[in-house]
Amino acid sequence: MTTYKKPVLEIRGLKTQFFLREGTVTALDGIDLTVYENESIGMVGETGCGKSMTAFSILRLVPHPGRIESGNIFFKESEEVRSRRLRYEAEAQAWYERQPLSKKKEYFATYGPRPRDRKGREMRFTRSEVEKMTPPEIAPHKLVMTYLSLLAKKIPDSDKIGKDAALRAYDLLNKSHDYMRSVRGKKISMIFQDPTTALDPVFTVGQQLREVISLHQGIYNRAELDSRVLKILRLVRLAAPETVMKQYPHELSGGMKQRVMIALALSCGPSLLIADEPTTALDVTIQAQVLNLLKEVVRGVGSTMILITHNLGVVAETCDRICIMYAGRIVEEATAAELFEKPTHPYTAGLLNAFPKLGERKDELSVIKGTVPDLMLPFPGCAFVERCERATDVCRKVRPRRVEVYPDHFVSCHLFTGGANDNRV
Amino acid sequence: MADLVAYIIRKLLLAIPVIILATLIVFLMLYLTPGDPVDALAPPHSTQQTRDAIREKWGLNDPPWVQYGTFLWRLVHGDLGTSIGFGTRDMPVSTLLSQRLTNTLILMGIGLGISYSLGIPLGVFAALRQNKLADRSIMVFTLVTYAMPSFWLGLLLLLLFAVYLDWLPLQGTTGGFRNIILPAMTLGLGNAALTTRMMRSSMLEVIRNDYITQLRSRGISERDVILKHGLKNAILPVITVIGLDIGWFVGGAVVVETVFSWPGIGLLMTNGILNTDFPVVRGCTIVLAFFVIAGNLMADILYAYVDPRVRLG
Amino acid sequence: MTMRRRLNDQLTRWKMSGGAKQFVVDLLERGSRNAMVVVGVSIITIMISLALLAPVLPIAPPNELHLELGENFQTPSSRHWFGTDSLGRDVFSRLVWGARISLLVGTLAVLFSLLIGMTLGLTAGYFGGKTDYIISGTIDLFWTFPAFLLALALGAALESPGLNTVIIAISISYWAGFARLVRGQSLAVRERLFVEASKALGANSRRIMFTHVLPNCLAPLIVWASIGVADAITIESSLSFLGVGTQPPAASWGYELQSGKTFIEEAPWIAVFPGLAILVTILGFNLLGDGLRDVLDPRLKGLRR
Repeated sequence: MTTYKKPVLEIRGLKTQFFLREGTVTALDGIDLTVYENESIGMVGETGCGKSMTAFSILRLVPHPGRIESGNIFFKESEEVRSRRLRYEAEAQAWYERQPLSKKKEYFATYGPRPRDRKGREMRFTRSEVEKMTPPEIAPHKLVMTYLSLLAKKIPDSDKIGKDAALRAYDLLNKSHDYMRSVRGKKISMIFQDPTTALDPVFTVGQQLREVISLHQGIYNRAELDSRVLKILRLVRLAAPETVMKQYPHELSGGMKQRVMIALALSCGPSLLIADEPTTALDVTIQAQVLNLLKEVVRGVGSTMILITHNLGVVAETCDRICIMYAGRIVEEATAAELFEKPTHPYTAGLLNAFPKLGERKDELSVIKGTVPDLMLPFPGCAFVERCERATDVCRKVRPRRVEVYPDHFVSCHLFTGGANDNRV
Repeated sequence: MADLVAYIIRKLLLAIPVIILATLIVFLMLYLTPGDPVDALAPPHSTQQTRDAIREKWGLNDPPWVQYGTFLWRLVHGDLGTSIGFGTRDMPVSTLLSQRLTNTLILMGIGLGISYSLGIPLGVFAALRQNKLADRSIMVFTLVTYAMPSFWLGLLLLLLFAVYLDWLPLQGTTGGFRNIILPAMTLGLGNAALTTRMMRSSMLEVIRNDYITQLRSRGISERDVILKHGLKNAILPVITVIGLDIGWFVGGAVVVETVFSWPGIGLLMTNGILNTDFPVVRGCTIVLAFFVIAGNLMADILYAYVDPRVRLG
Repeated sequence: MTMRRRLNDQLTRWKMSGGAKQFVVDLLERGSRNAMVVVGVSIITIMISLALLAPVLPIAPPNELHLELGENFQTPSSRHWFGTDSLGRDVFSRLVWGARISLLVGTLAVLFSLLIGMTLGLTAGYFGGKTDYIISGTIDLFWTFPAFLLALALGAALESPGLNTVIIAISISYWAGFARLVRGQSLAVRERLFVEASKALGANSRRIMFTHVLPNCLAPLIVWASIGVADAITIESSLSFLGVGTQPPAASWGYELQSGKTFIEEAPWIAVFPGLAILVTILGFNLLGDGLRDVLDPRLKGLRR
């Protein structure tokens, strides 16, 4: 375990709430999660436990009347992905430079989007101005470099550097809307659950892919765009990509549509891919295909994947790490193997028990008694307390802390934290 | 694209029986008139000779299907009979119609333009500001405008602009730009209210869709998400009703032309009714029915062009 | 809560029970909370009262001509609240009497349309197959063709226009909307029936069709009917305006507007007030319809399940 892992995403104390007339629903109640490069992590939980809301919070697409109340989301692109992306953009830029002036103006004119000045008016450029423009990037700060090298050496205290001013530069929650737009689709992408409703029905696959690629990679040349589109369609193993490009979403099958969504998400080489229940709406026979595709393609592009699902079987196959969510909190986090071997939290144990094992005979399926708590009511203690068979008094009053119970295996449960001594709520 | 062409051909073929049915109904109109059909077609106080000639011409002595055939034959050849009304006696109906055809088309065209160029942006605007003051006031405004009968609106506008302000002429008999403003505005405003409401509710529905969030998650600017993707999707239901709208416009044109004395087919029909000039009334009915059918056809084609999912149907 | 209970008890006393009572209680309770419904109902009530009370109201008879010099074209005053028209008749009084015509035509036309539409719709749904094909083709035809034009053509051809003609003309033009609704619902029920056919419903299927179809249609039909009355009144006044509807000396609002147009420079009030009356009435019915739709729609989704 000496290989260091560079974090791509680090969420600290994320709290997202919905302010309704009837009350306030706390969808996410202090989420702590770190996602490392080249590692896929699965988020598992029942419906309503907050998995999708985590994804929306990362992208800052929480719908009204919801709002991210507190916390930090630190995001730094993996170097590999970033350099590849910059290389693409440099190629595009170089190609553009070789064009005669009339063509340049033409491309700006036909494709856009043009940058805007402070009053929101679109700007027009001369050749020299274009040459002087550089893509907006955050120049690495000296202090940040220090932080990162600290992380690289995996000093145990590195996660306490949270208050470091330089780190704030990476907090997505501090960024402008324009910056977020450059993040979405380019550095972090998301694929949705139901491909039928998640693709705009009045534009062809090709049109939608071209739109994303030209937006994020600055390529306006139709031929170049088309070749990129075909490349990405081949990457997701769509047969006859030339035909698919010209088709509308409703002309494709469910599995094909999901592949198109994956293509859209990966088209600009993101560092992080969030897949929200990607196979739930699909046929069982297609599920396996799509999952395998996801695993391979994500690894091939060098991205990290967060796979959200309610199906433990799916994450067992596809993910390196798994975290279990319950009522807006993360209750357990471990590698896949660890989790299935040594399920620690009572909820996890209950989930695993609920799956009947092959070859085992049972008259009744075991269930976890009770139902999910109402997220509108505040509960000071552990969220699982009503349904836990091993609940104690402390569990009702004090919220359990996140503790490393085994190496690289974290749990939030009083049974493992030394109980009544914790004052933290 | 090929499927679009196939769709167009299919729709054209389907329109033919509709047109035939329309001609049949118009043909039967003659029999609704009281008394001898000849009375409707012949000028008052005409001689027996004239009446017999008319009977001969239209085959009124022949069995029904022959009559219908004669009617169709004459129709296809552009002969719709002769006016028997005051002031236009003995003029062929087709001449009267062709003089005024363009006028009505212009009126409807401009009215449609006003209706949609007002209604669509207003609807989007209201949808984006749902339940705020702007939205609520637009809703109230459309409710009231929608409830107004078009001729009253026309009269009010006439009162305001022609009588009190004296900016625009009272009667538009000569055609021309100044004369068309008021009638076109009346037509347009009446329908704009409906369009606004439809557009608003459609836009509200579209915004709630998953693919809108998905588009945002791709980093597409809010402006593009709403104006490029959202609008194109939201406009579909509105286009669906363009056909019905055109039907309304044709009817509205009749009324508005009467209010403003705009020399179109509607005014011709109204005058024909006043003068009990059946051939003219009949001719106008056919033309108006044709407008409706043609309008619906174009609307269907436009819809298939915008929404590719329809082309299979 | 108590109002609901009181309503409930009252309806039970009137021998209503079960689902029907539930529906009415729900409707009345929700309706009274919906602003649009309340306003709509108030307007309609005022109009209906005016119309019904017309003979006993202390206003001048609508057809009382005053051809003496100066009696015509009077501006609104304390004696003639809305002024007088070209023949010296009191405009206000003509308006009130005109309400009778408009409301009568509106309701009767919608009623007949409803009957025609329901019959055809049920037939199409029940028999299915070829019958359905023909009927739904006809429905589509009438549906896309503007009712006003059709009524106009009919009215123009029938050379003795009048109240009856107008009602008939509108009924013939307007039934398609109702037919569509009923047909859709009866087709849906038919689907379900065939699924249950294996439970040997056999000879009762016809009765069950009817008992299932109508309750489910009731809500949208009510909404459609309210808006239908508004449309019918619009068509009637438009027809009268063009001279094809109710004939003088009947005091139809549309007819008033015709002379309003002629004399718009001299006596604008003749044009303004009848139109206002039409506007308010139509607004009332539209509000009622829209409001009812809001009230009933969420319930509708439950019904259709």
